[in-house]
Amino acid sequence: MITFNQLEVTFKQKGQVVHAVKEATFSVEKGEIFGIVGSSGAGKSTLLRTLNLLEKPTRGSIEIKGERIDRYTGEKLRNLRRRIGMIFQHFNLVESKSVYDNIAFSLKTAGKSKGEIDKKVKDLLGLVGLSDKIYAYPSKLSGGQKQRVGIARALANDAEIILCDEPTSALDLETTASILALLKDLNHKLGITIVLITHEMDVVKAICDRVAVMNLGEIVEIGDVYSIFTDAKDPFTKQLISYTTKFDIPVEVRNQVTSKIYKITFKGDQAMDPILSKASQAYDVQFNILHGKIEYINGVPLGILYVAIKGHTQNEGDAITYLKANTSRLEEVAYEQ
Amino acid sequence: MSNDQLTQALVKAFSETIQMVFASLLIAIIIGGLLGLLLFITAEPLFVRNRTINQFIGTIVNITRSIPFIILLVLLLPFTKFVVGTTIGSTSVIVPLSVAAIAFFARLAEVSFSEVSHGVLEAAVASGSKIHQIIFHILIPEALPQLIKNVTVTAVSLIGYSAMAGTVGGGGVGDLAIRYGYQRYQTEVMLICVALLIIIVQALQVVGDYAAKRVNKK
Repeated sequence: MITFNQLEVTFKQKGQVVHAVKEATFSVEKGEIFGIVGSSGAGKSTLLRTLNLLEKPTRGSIEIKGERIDRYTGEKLRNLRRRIGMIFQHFNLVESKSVYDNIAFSLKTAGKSKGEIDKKVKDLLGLVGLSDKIYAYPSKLSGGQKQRVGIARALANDAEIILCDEPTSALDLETTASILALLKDLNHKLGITIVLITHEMDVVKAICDRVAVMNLGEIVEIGDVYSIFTDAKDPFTKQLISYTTKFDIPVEVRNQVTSKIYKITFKGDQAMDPILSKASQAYDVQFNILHGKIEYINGVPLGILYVAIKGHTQNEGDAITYLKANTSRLEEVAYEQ
Repeated sequence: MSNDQLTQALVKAFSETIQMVFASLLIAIIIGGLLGLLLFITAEPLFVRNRTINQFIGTIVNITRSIPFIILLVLLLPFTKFVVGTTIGSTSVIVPLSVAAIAFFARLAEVSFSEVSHGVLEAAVASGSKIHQIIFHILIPEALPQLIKNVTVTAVSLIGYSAMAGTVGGGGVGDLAIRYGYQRYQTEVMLICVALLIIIVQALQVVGDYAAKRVNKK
């Protein structure tokens, strides 16, 4: 659907040349929810904006459906932009217009008739669950409601792609979940391709199929979300996901534990198997779970447990061998004394 | 001056002031607003960034604004004669008043436009709309409350400028205050004129604030 090839964006800022995006080469498949994650200033916003040419690439090319779009101008560019919706962190609704007129604007400028506009606006508001706010002004809406209007507006001209610029960063947790659910639902129902940038790994975990990790203008790692969480290679990626996969055991607890502490990672089906119970029975050892969590990424479980093992030394060694064979990773956790 | 004469003089001066201020205000809103819009869109990468045009207009506006009004009035005499056919009377004062107000309002309008959320304009550009559609349907409506406030500011400044119209026989309340109140030591005329000016300015402010509030949906 979308192919970036050796894409570079540079611009001058206060006399210095800034390489906002360096040699980005990757594709986004049709119907996919693709995340771009990174800290602020990583260039993800610039990269996203090259898709509708709000940022002009300096070098390289972008193809959408096999057609190079990076040199589009005039009516061709406007047509492209109508096919690509965009939603924003701060919603960017027109304060002087009602919800109806906010959505109607891009339909009007696309040359639709009054009747078509009226029907479309009402359909879209139904789709995002905001029919009762049709004539309200944005200042009377909550953040979540504003983003729903933003989504309806992005879909107005039957967009095939939606660009999401930190769509939930200004929302509370509950509202974030409902907006993400809506995006996922639209992706399913309408087959819309979604490219989303965020600095929150939780957002990636919740809805993305694949993710690109950006650091200082470069894409350092790219892959499906599950393998990024379980097999990250790049140190920057590891740091990003450490919030999900690393747990701190309080010193007070650590001091009470005399035996070694192990970090066990379970993936997929392994997480469904009662491996600890089995090991405990087979080798006559006891496990003390100190910390842990089971995450579900796209419905696939990822378990991480910190355990202390108690038992005879021989038995303990056997149990560890068994666990190593039956989990995806087992490592001893060393703490500085 | 008898009471009757005073009343007559005040009514005449009042109508002259209103005429001068509103005629030049109207011209300033149209031409100054247009210049302010040009200043904004030629500085904004989302529209048609053009440094040459921007600096050209900016320099002319700055030069005009640098000249004290009383000097501008004199400097523009040939131009006024060319436009109106005479350099005397309240109609001819409208020319320098308009020129000053155009430059004044152009800058204020530019500021009003630049206070519109960049994100909102970006969203409009991303929707595939044409620049003129964005200007008329998004930029101007979003800037309108601020534009109206700045029209009020311009109108109040114009009342101040119009006091100098007397130097070329333009008349008006300010002129009346200077001629009778100051030059002829009739302090009561001056006080009445000042009171009248205060009332005019207050009335403008109230109407302006009300209008700005009406169009503001925030």
